[in-house]
Amino acid sequence: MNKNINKISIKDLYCYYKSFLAIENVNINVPKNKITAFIGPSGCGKSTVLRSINRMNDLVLGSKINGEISINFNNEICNVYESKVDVTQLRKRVGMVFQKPNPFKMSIYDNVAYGPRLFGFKRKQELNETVEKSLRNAALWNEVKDKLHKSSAFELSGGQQQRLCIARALAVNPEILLMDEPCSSLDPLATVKIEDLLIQLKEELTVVIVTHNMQQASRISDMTAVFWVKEENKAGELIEYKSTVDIFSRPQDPRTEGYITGRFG
Amino acid sequence: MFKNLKENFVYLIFKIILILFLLLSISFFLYIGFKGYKDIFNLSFFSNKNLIYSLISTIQIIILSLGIACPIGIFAGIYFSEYADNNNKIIKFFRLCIQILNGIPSIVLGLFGLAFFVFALGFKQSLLSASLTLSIMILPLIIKTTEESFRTIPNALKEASLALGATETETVFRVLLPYAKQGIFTGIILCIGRVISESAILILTAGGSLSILSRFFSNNYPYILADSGRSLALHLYYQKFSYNQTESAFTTALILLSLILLLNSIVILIKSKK
Repeated sequence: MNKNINKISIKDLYCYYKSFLAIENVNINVPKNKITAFIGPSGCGKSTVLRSINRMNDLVLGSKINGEISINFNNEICNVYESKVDVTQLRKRVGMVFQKPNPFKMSIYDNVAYGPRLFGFKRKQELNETVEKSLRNAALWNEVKDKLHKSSAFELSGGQQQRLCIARALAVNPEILLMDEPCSSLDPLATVKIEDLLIQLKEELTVVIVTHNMQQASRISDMTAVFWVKEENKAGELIEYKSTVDIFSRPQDPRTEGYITGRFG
Repeated sequence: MFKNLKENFVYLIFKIILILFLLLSISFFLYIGFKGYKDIFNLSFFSNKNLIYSLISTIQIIILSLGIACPIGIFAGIYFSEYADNNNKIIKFFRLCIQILNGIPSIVLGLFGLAFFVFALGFKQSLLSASLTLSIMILPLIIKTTEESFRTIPNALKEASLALGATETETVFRVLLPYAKQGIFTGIILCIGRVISESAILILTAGGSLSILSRFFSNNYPYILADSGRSLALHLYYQKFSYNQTESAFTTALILLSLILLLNSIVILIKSKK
C-alpha cells in the first residue's frame, strides 16, 4: 500500500453561514490510512471543515461552500461538491461519528443493521455477519453478544453507546471515518478504549478526528492540523499542518505553541 | 418569622382553591352519574334503540372523519416540520391559514359544511357531510401535534441517519416516525374526544330528523353514511330540546362523559409510558 496517497485533498476551502465567513482558505491533504487530528480553540471552524467533507453542512440552512474537496476512492478522484455526486453514496463511503452518542431507539442489532438495510442487505446470514464484524471492529461484540436483540441501545453505558455508533458507521464499510470530538462526553476509561480502537481501525480506513484534548491528539494522531480564529473577521483559518511529532515538539507558529502548552485557547 | 407566615398563608389560599375546584368537579361527575345511572342498569337500556344507534353513528363518524383527516394531517405535519422552508412566503401563508382554521368557532364551520357539503355538493344532511366537516375541524390539531412531535426529536438522530447515507425520506420513515408515533397517537385520541363532544357542527350537518327515526324503528337502519343521523352529543341535544326527556338525556350525558374519561385515561397512559 502506498503510504503517500492523499485520501482527501481540500483546496482553497471557504465556508459561509449566510453572510458569516466561517472558514477562510483552508488547504489540507489528509493521508490514507492515517489518523489526522484537527485541533484549535472553540469557534475556529475545525468542525465545519470536518462536516464539509461528507457534506453534512448542506443541512445547515444558508451554508455555502467555495473551493474544492476531492476524495480518492480507489484511485478514482471524486470532487465532493460536483453536482453529479450522489450525496447518499458519498456519506455511505465517508462515515461520521458525532460528539454525543446518538444511537437510534432500536435494539443493538437493528442499530448496526440500519445502514446495511438501507443499501439493500436483506439476507439474514449476510446481515448477521456484517453486524458481528462491525461490533467486533468496534470492540463491543463481547459486551453485547448475548443481548443483541433483547436490549435497546439506550440501556448501554455512554462509552458503549459511542462504540455502538462507531460500529453502526463501520457497518456500511466506509473508507473514511470522520469523528467530531467523539470522546468529549466520555470518561477517561471509555476514552482509552475508543483511542485503542481508532489505532486499530486506521489499518483499514482513514480517520479524521476533531478534538479538544491535546493529549488525545498527540497520543493517537499521525498528522495534526491547528486551526485558529482570525482576529479581523472571526473566520477560522488553518495556521499549521504537519506531522503530530513536529507539531508537538517543534511548533512553528507561536499560537500553536501557546495552545498545545495550554497557555491559551 | 413574619415572612414564613406570609408564605404559609399563600399556600393555604392555593390549597383552598384547589380543594374547592376538586369538590366542584367531583360533584359534577356525581350529579351526572346519579341522574343518568338508572337507565343504564335497567334492561331497557339495551332495547333503547335510539341510544345504541347514536353510539354506532358516533363510531361511524369518528372512523370516517379520522380516516379523512389523519392521512392528510400527518403528511402535512411531516412536510411542515421536515421538508418545508420556513422562510418561504407560501409556507408562511399556509401556516397562517392552519392557525386561523384552528381558531374558527365550530358553529361557523358547521355553517360552511351546511352550505358546501350539504347543499353545494348535494350530500344532504348526513353522516357523510358531518364527518367531512368534522375532519376540517380536527385537521389543524392533527397537523400541529404531528409537527410538534417531529420537532421534539433531537437533531442528532436525524444527522446520524443522514450521515449513514440515508435519504431524507428514509430518515423520516425509519428513524423519526417511530419516535413521533406516540405524540401523533396522543393527538389522534384528543381528536376523537373533540369529535365525540362536538355538537354545533352536527346540529347543522348531520340531520337526525324525525323522519329518520321512523325509518329507524322499521329496522331500516341508517348504517349508511349517506343517511341522516345523530351522534351521542346530538342525541342528547334532541332528547332535551325536541322531546324534553331530561332523564334519558342524562343517561346519554353519562355515556358521553365516560367515553371522554376513557379517552383521556388512554392519553395519560400513553404519556406515562414515555
